[in-house]
Amino acid sequence: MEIREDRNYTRDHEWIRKEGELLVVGITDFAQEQLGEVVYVELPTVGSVLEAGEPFGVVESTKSVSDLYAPIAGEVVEVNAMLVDAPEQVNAAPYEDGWMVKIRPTHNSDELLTANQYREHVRG
Amino acid sequence: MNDSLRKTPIHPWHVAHGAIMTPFAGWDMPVRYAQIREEHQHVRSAVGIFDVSHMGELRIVGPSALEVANALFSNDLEKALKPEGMPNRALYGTLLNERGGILDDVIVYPADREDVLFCINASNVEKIRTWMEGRVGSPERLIDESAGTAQLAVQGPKAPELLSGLFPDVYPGLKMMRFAKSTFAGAPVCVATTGYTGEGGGEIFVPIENALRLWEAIMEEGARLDCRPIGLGARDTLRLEKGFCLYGNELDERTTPLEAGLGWVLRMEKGDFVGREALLRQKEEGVRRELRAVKMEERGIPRHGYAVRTARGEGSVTSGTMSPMLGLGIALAYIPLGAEEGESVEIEIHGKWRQGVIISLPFV
Repeated sequence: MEIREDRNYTRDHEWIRKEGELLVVGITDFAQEQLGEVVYVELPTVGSVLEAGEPFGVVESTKSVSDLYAPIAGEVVEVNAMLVDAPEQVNAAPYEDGWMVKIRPTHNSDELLTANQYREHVRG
Repeated sequence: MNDSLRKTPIHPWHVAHGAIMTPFAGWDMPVRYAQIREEHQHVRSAVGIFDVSHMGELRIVGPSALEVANALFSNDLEKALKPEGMPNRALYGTLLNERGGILDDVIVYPADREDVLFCINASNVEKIRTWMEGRVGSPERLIDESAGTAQLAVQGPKAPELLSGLFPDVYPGLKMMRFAKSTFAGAPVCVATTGYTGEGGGEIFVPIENALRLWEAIMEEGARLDCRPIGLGARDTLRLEKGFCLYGNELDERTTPLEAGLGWVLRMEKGDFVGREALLRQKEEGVRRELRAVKMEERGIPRHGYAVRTARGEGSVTSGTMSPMLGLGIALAYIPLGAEEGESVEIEIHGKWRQGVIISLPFV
């Protein structure tokens, strides 16, 4: 189970990585393993305004439906359209091609976990 | 792992082979070993083995057992008995309460007029046993064999070849929905051409002490056919693609067979059975909702409980999934009567109404 050092995490098993002034968001390797094969992803429209902690999308496996929670408040500036036809990218490359949204944050968050903190969270 | 969950005789094998386990009806059962979609497609193209030992087995025995059983069952067990030497039929049908509500959907295996086996859904074993106890005359006429009996299902286009190899005395030539006695490891087993996937193959009732050995023998016999273990996850998507009902989703005590599209398991003319009068009344008054099949035409996966909107009013999804064979959302739903095949309906998925079409079963 992979946890990358170059990004932050949430308790809901999402990762956030800085890309210039934007934040890229996806789900972790732990999350994709738990879900099983992802067969459907629903993402917000570009321009949507997200509130921290609110559900902004859905990721589904054959058996389960999981909400995606906004790790931070901001505006959605890009979504990963490849996940429409290739949702399995979330399993194959959760930290890279499986990215989900890019947000322009409007506020900071003090709830984000470091890689170490996320590692503890998963273990505990 | 929850220690209060019951374990089938195959449990150690599931765990040793990396199955992801889940509680189901009080049992610790395998959901999947690989990915559900892979397992599902494998059953449709080759062969898979399922541990369904959590199911219950209740046997009514003694003089007039068949008549007693037939008075509890909606289908006609008289039609199941074949001439001497021919394998009897296994019949699918329902056990109803006095209001015509479904207590369980079952497959019944009448061995002869004094021996009738009911295979009961795992979640209903206690309920049905108690219900039958009051209706079979005397306690020794009802034998609960559940604790001592395991059940394995072997399903897929290569399953008949596998089962013919293991049971050459009874399986070859056995028609659909038949059953016969055979032996394994010196003890009797019942081999039936029944199943819940819509594929060929069958199900085997085996004493628990021989169950793991039989599982391993099937895997060995099936190795050259690429027989794989399949979990409850794929079992559910397989049955849904065929439109088979699941008790608790499509069927419950407030639902009659007429609403659930199971009129074909009712033999009203055979004589009285529990619930018959209520069904006759419902036929007269008219059924107000019916179970229909919906195939999605837009993105989105319909799920249990999602709202359905039709030209005649609202309804609700009972089972839904992404069909592994079609790559589309599919659902069974109760909706107001009268929808035509090809008619559009909408299902509310994540806050948006999305279009589907009414089709006739099976989906695949």
